[in-house]
Amino acid sequence: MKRMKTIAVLTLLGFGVFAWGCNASKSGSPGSGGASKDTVKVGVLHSLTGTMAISETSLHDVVLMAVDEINAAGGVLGKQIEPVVVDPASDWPLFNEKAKELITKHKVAVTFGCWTSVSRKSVLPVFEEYNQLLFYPVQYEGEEQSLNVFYTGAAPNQQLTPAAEYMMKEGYTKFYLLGTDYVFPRTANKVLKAYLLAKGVAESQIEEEYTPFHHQDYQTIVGKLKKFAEGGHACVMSTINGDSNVPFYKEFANQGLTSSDCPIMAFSVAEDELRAMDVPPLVGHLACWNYYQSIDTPENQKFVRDFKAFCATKNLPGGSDRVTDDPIEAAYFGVYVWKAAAEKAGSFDVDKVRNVVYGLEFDAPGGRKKMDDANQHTLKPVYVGEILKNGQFKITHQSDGLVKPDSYSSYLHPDPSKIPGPTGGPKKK
Amino acid sequence: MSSRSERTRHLRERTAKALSPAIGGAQQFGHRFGALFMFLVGLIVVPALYESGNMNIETVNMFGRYLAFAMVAVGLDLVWGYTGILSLCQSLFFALGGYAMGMYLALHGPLDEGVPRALYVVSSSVKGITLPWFWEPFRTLPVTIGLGLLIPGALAFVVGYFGFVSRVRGVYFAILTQAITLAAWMVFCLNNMRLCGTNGLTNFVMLAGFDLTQANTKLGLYLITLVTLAAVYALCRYIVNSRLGRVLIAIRDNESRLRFSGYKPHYFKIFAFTLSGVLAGLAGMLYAPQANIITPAYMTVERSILVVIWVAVGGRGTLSGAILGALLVNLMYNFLTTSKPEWWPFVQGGLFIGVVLLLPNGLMSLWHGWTAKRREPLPENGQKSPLADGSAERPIDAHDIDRRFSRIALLQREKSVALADSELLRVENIQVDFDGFKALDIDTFSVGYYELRVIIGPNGAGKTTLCDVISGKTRVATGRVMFGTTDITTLAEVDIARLGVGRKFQTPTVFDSLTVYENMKLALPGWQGVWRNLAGRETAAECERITALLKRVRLDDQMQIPVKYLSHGQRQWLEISMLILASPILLLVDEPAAGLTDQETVLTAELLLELQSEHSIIVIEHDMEFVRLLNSRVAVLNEGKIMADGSMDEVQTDPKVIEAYLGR
Amino acid sequence: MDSQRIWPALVLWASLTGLLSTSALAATGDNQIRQTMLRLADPDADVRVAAIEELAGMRDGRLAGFMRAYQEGSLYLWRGRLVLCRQIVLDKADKKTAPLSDPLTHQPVLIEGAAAVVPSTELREVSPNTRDRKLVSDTILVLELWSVDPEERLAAVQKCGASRNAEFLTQLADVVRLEQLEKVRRTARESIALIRLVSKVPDQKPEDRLAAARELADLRSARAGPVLQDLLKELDAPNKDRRLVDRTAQKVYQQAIEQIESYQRLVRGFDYLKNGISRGSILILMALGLSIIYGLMRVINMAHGELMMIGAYATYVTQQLFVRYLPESYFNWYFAVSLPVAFLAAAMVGFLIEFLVVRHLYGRPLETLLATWGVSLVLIQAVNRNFGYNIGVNSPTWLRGGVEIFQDMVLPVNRCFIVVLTSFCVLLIYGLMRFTDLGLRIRATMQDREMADALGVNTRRVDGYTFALGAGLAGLAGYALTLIGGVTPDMGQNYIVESFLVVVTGGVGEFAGAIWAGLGLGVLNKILEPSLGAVWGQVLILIGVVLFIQRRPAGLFPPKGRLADV
Repeated sequence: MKRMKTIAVLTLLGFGVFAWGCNASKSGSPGSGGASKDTVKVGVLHSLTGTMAISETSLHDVVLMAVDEINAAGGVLGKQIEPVVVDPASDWPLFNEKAKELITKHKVAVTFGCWTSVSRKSVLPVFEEYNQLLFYPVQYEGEEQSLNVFYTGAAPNQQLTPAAEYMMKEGYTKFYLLGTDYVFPRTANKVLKAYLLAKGVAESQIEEEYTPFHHQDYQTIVGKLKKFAEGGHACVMSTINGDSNVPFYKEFANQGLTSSDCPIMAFSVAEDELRAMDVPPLVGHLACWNYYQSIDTPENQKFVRDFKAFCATKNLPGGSDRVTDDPIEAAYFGVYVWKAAAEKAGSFDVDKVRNVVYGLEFDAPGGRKKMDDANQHTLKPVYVGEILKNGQFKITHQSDGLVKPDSYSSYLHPDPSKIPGPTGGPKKK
Repeated sequence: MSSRSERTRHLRERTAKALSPAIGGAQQFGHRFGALFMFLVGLIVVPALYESGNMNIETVNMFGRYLAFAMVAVGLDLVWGYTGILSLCQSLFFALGGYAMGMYLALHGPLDEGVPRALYVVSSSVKGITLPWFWEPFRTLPVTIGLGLLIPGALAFVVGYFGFVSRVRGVYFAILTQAITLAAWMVFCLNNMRLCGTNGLTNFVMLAGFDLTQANTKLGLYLITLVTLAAVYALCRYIVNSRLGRVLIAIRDNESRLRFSGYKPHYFKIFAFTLSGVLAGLAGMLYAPQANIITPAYMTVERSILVVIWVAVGGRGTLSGAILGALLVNLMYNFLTTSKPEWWPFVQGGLFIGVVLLLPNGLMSLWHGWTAKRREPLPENGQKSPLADGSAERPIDAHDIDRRFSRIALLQREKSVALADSELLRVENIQVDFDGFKALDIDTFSVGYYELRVIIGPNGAGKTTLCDVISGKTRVATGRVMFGTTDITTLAEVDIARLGVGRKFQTPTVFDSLTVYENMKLALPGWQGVWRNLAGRETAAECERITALLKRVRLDDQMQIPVKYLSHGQRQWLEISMLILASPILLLVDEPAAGLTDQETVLTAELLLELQSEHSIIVIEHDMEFVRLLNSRVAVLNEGKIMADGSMDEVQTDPKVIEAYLGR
Repeated sequence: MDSQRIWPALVLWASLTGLLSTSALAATGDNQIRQTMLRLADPDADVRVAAIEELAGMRDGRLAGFMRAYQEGSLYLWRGRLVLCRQIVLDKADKKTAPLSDPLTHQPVLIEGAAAVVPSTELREVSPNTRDRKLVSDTILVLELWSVDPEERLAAVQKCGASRNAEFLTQLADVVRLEQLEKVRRTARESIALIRLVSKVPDQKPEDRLAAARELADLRSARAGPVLQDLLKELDAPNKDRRLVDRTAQKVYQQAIEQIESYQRLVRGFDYLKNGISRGSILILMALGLSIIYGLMRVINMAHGELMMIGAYATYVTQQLFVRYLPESYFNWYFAVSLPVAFLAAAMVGFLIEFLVVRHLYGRPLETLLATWGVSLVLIQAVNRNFGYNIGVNSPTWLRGGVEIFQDMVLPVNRCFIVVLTSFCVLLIYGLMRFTDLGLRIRATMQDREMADALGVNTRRVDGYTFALGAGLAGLAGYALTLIGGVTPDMGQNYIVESFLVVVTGGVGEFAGAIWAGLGLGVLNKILEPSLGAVWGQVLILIGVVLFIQRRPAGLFPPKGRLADV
């Protein structure tokens, strides 16, 4: 009897949850799919749970902030933006499913999302199949050119090679290429290696090493590094991803190595990651990005202030302690690029929007930038920064103006005629 | 010991009462009807909805993918729900199948410099790249399908073989498979393995000449998956309903009993595990073209646990429950990640906890509860339901007891004439050592043909250990055990059992979830092979023998009742009946009278005396009254040594024995 | 020796010498330094160079900071004096203002008792031009040789050696003569020898170079290894005339390399052991709790990793409270306080889990696996919602860095702490189980639940306590992990599988087994990892464990006798 009762309660509870869920999803979608009269839907496809939430949550937050700002200023083409937030839960196949759902069920005009290469590769066929647009805000390995993706992060030649150039200029002659074992570090290191070899660094002076995802125990590798750094003039080029960085830097400091013995030039450590680290032992290590929170312009200071205020008022974890960094900026201006393009095209139609994005100039928090005329990337400045005690970066080097992006690295494809053409785009009849 | 079993029995009876509606034929009906219903919905309603424009093709595609998951769940249900092996390897088998198909699809997708794009991207190098050798076989579809089934199957076979032969069980097997899954995941994540690293295989375009982006292809794949799932379900249902299904359940309930009945349980386990591996591989092959991606993320330990959860939510031990669970949990996951992006872990986590706490038999138990209510099973043979009054025992009347006493006296008289003259079992100079404690130290002990031998002794004297030695459960440090002319000292339990040594344990060991009749069927001799169990049926003569034996121990009315509802005494008799059915040469009977009422004790004594005409018997007992009834040669065991040997009267007057029993 | 512990003494000593040197400089005094400093703003380049050289000769450690500020352009001329301004900030009215501080003492410049913040327009930047930069950075290095901070001195000495610049030789010789700290002196000798070995030192004879090589060999200098290798290669270069090869030099170099290498082998062996024990100790800490819970209740607690995470977050919260409510000098104490906090927080959550979930699943071990998996999902997301990602736990200063017990053999302090913590926990558990009443009850329940029940042990309560104890141990593991890893809501997932392996390899319910298995797996991992890489090392271990379980299905210490369930 008692059991029957609990079963009944459970069933009721289940239906309650279901009804509540249905209600919630309904209230979020007035009109039957597609852009209704006064709103336009955009998809936000960032993991809020799972292993990648550590990085992607901030991007989700900043996209919503941009949407709020645009809506407060009157929207796009007279329409309010309605964000459709889904959680692909760091589950690569789910990225694919969610992308399909955003496109076919919610009929979004554009999607902002993804962080890891695998998630991008997972959704790419969907965007190409339905000829939809994705704005991808993270630095990546290149070797890809899809007409359905705009890359607002750095291409390899906007981050990797300038950093290597900087280190060589600083007098470093030995390079330890250390990364997490997946496609970005692999390709990044390939580009770096090709670059270094081309610049006359001997192969014996370059070491390459990979660790699995979520690697936590860097004792052995730091031991190797110590030996590597013994002769001096050695540096680490690190493409270690996500949660492995904290144990790596901690171990590095605790085994008595400092930035003066062997500086670490990181490509995946930005201000947001530094929040999780014990910064004092890290002072002096380097990173190469296209944006820093410390960029000293009124526009950027306003952006930083706004983001902190947004997180505080929305009661997000971290509140006003939150910081901005390169991918956050790229995710933020991605929304504005789309807005500008839609307004210039006078339509939300994907093909029309795409055509005006090429060569579009715009103001981002970090300064004026431009979309490339010929490929899907963004022209960006390159900065090398040094970690300061307060978890910020001091800019020690910056490029002359904007650097033009290469989607296929010239160091991996010496013969330009062999570079594959772009994929996706409008369906050929 | 007996108080413990009493308590567990009591507990069982309480659960039994609560679950009473779930037993009987309605269950079978529920399974079949539910599955058929689901199949028809999938076959007719979904395509109809799509054709009429009420469902978009991506939803159909999503159902197709989830049906593939359901196939994995069915496979796991076979090994976990029925056989009781918790495997955390299923996601690995699934991913292996998926990779096989993925490699075929990648090779027929866009190529860069002659290698699939997915592979080219992760290894694009200045020097160029050639296709690794192990990609070559996946160029043609038939070979791919073959390998997609063979590789996971072979892996499952190897894991099963090594695991089950060395009797890795329960949690240990779960952890072992978990370790294998983890290792495989790490290897597949390595970029250098030329399996495309964490990115996995993408860019699937053509499958056997069909364009995967076409809606019709997607619908077709959905239908193929659905039909395959139905076939898989039918196959598993057939297996579960066959004798082999009973054996699997018997393994779950009591593996060592099965071994003492002459079965080699590891063969059955390997069979089930390999089959589940093949099914998971098949599911993976159907999944890859529908999902357009396959990555190592599919073979993580978490995914394997997820498969277990599908089965648990649906209801383990019910094949349709596995399908239901897989579909529901995945739909819920999909739904919640969109509608409640930040709350879904709470809802989902809460649901898992809730289902486990409140619905231990999964959602299918709701269905069963419902169908059982609607079709209250009529008590068979016009007899009232055995559980209606909480007791399934038939009272024994006083007159009957008197009759039996006179019969015992008759049997005793006959016996003294027919004493055996040659030895059947001989134990020589054996010693058993438990961490320095000498549990057994016997110079010589023997049993003749058709002799009934009784061993008595205080607790801890080594009586059960002696039984363990004879039946092969415990190994001796030194010495030799001869059975007839065979040296069985180092033989495995199964082989000893097959030679004709039957054993009854101290606490009755029977297969709780099976009915009395099914228990007996499993004990039939000559049915111990895997294939025979899968295909064969018992002959009428065999069935008659079972019925006769059950009548003899007064269990004929309870034939269709799961054993867990029987009383202690009935379980004792059932176990003895199962032994007799196997017609062993030697019977080892450990404390047959423990926990029985006086009347039941008398019945048991009578039974044993009767059996002596066909078997040699060793009885271990405490109860002196019972031993007296048997009136046989008695050996007294104390501190591992035989202290006295002779008739009951001789032994009872032996001063050493008196000292040992009464203390100084 | 123990550089960590003697630092306070060193700092005292260093400040004393600082005082002494200040009094020695009394004649000149800070005023003269300031006068010289002011000349950096002179338009005449020669005056500036002279000023820099004069400052370099002063051997005042404070000047290193000053020169760095000069180099990075944080130095300004303001009302005829030099001031330091690290960052120009925007005030409320979006105007650029500059908070000023003294370039020598780094104290804020005071105007009428308040810290000076002036409009940035009043400042004129003082920074070296391109020609002077090299000189400035050399000067910084030289000044750092006399820094108050021994770490900085050591780094400077190393940098001098790495620069291979013969100009530093005299300064380094002075360091060898005057430096009080043995390690710095030794490094200075090493640097001198390195420079002599490689650089073109004026009026140096060839024998000096060989003497330098021998000196390096005597010092067991790891830094010299690659340099000597290069020299040897140069001697052997194939295009050289065989007859011109300097046989003596070759022999001396080879011997030196051999000597250094043999010592380094010793160091490597030490490293394997140290790394292995350190990894093992973490596994043991995790596995202890798991083993207790499994041993007692046969419950596979999938939420164990999340209990560990609770411990780590408890440590974080304690740290935040300290930062917010207590003065900075108390900061280091947070780590001592959070030890019991982490234990209790995790124990409480564990107790709740047992009370709400596990208790009702008694005797259904596999179902608890699923339910606790659900619990872990909920816990991860609950913490994610409330604390988010990217939070940092800063180690207390006394747990940073390493102790060099012998030359090149560094024991990181945090890892030593973890080993000590683990040993402490093991002893505590042993004591608890052996000598206390609760321990007796726990053991009784573990061995025969029904019997214990019958004897009046409240087994339900024992279950609750035991689960809480196991959870508390997980909390301690999380507390320890904040020292070496990141704190994220899903951090538990990284360790859970390996902890299971340890428990299973050791034998269920056997603490000794868990300890041996933990150490064994840890050391084995660290021996395999250097040659095979992290992945294959781990894979090999996993396969090893699988084979081990296959050989011994009940672990290292299987139960024997009639209870054996085989």
